[in-house]
Amino acid sequence: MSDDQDKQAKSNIKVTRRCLLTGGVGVATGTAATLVAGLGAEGAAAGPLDRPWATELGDPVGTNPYGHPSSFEKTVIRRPTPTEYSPKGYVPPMNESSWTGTPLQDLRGIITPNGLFYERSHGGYADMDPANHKVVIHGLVDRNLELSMEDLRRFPTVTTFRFLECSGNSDLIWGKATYGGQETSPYLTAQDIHGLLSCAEWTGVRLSDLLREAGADTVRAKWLIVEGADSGALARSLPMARALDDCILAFAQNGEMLRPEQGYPVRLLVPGCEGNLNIKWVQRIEVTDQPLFATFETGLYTDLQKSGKAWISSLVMEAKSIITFPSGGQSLPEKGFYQVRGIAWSGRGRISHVDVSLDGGRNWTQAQLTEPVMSKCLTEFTMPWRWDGSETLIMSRATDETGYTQPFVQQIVEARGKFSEYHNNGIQTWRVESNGEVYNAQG
Amino acid sequence: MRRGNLIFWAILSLMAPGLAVAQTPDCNDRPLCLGRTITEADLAVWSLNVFPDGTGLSDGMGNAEEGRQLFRDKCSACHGEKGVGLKVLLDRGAFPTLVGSTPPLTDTEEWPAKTVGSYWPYPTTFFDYVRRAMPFATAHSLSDNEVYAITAHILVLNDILPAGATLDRDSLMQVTMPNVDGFICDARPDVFAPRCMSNCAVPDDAGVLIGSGESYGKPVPITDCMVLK
Ligand code: HEC
Repeated sequence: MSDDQDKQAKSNIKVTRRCLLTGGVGVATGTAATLVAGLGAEGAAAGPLDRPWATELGDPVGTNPYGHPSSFEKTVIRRPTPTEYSPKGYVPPMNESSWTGTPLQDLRGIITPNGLFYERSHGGYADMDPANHKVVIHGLVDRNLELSMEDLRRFPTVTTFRFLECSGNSDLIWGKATYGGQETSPYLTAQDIHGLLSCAEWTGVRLSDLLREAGADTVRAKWLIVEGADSGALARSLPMARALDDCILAFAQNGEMLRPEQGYPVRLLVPGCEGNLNIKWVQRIEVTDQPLFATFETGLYTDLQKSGKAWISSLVMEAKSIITFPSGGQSLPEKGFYQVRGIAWSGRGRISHVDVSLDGGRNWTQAQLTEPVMSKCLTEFTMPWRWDGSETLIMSRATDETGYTQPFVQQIVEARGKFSEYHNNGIQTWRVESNGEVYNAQG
Repeated sequence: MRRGNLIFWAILSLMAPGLAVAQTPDCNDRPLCLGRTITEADLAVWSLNVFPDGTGLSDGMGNAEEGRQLFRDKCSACHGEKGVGLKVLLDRGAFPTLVGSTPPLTDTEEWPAKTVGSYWPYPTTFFDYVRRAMPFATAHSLSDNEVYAITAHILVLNDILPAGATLDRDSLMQVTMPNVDGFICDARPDVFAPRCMSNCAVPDDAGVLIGSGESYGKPVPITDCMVLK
């Protein structure tokens, strides 16, 4: 043993002893005694006390100054829609204008860890020096304001829990006919179909406070044109009524500063509304009396109806739910008890009920909602289930506080036509086969 | 003594922050006096927004013939020489198609081609977008004249302008896109789904209810809808 290693070993021992002696006195010493006794009695016999992590020291504290998940969780990552299961023309041609989905089936509760929050960018994502970043508010205002990030963070802050969902989420199950009659793959997972959905605690400043500071003419001005600083300067028209209601410019997500993928150093948050409206890397807000009719609110993200006319400004994400266990790609090892679980959300407010059907939608049972149930935020639901080993079509259905109930996908397609594509909040069916394997049964 | 004074001011400013900040000169006209004021001239150099009524369109002009050259040099590598986006990844990926098809885009067997010509309601959207975002990977590298020229070329390819057309602010405002009347306000909630608990209808049954949104739920706010001309 070299001198250095020796010193290191000694200091580790010291640390261990100090913790034992000064830590929770009775318990700690008691455990230590049992440990020693156990080792003495069982020696090298296989058992919990014989495993490497029980007999050797673990990695030193501080090994990962910014921690990451266990190596056993390495498959729980963001993923693009698998090309092999994608219809023709569906896959983005360049990774700078692309997306990856959140592994919903592997997460618990309602908060998406920052590293797993879904990504959707139209020009890659930049990592901008906040020291050089400014937010400008101009147009129908008493004074054009330029705010540094430091200025912005001095405004009174609010913290809210909100989901974000891409308007194109779940478009893979819009109905078989959607993409030239191609079959929808049974191998798709919750992540593949619904992964453009995440939820976080956001901290930022009220847009209404910024508008007041600039002296915005909120009578004449009906729109804000919000623009990002990324390549492509993505811009959208935000209705003034929403801006004055609950919009914030967020700079923190789940306690830490935004990730570059989420628009570091500052993004717009329009609660309950389609992801694209939540401009990242916000650099400019023009206060106007007319909307921009930007590319992403005309050519894209508009919902073509049967009639040949398209809905413009379909901003709200309607009530929706999905079962994340059991869901596509998972398997049940045997008959017996399982807890069905999933998530529900509504862009119009709180979830009031979630129902689960185990027979293809004929009969429904009300699921348990996990507290807290918050407005425009994911809500977790669970239901106890004893699986008898027979093939089962399992699905969930959300109702929100406005009394709106999530419909079947087929109803939506019938009402809006085959090519409406965006804002699909229909019911997702999974098929549990008698061997326990679970497949997508929607398409 | 001094110390007592400081504490007094600290407490006072906590109780009434307005009082403390109001002392900053030149700033008693706004609530917090954060940030600095700037002029329209400061902003003009990087203003990008172009509205359907022409607000934001720049001076200058461009011709469709120049636009053809420019498009070949700067756009065709991805969007194809004729503006019909190149296919990649065994046809599963495709660059956007900028040319072709005509409205209305009603239900067909094939996915209807939502192109600049067949779908976009205003020509200003094209000018605005190309100037802010294209060429992909080298955004903001075109002059305003070049953007006019490329806009003219794409409108010619879409049979919206005659060959050789020239565009400037005034002539761009004369262009009416074929699908200008193709957009309506969002009508949700549009699908009626009662919260049935037992012996419910399912989609394969006859008679699954699809009603209007008026009978339940909360309509989307009309203030969300971009007012159409
Ligand atoms: C390196 C490849 C590339 C080049 C070069 C390029 N584009 Fe694009 N273009 C794209 C991609 C990728 C998109 C989709 C961007 C997105 O998702 O936001 C796009 C989107 C567009 C759109 C929107 C189309 C729609 O229906 O959504 C227009 C218009 C456009 N490009 C015009 C141009 C013009 C004009 C040029 C030349 C000045 C150009 N592009 C050069 C890759 C390219």
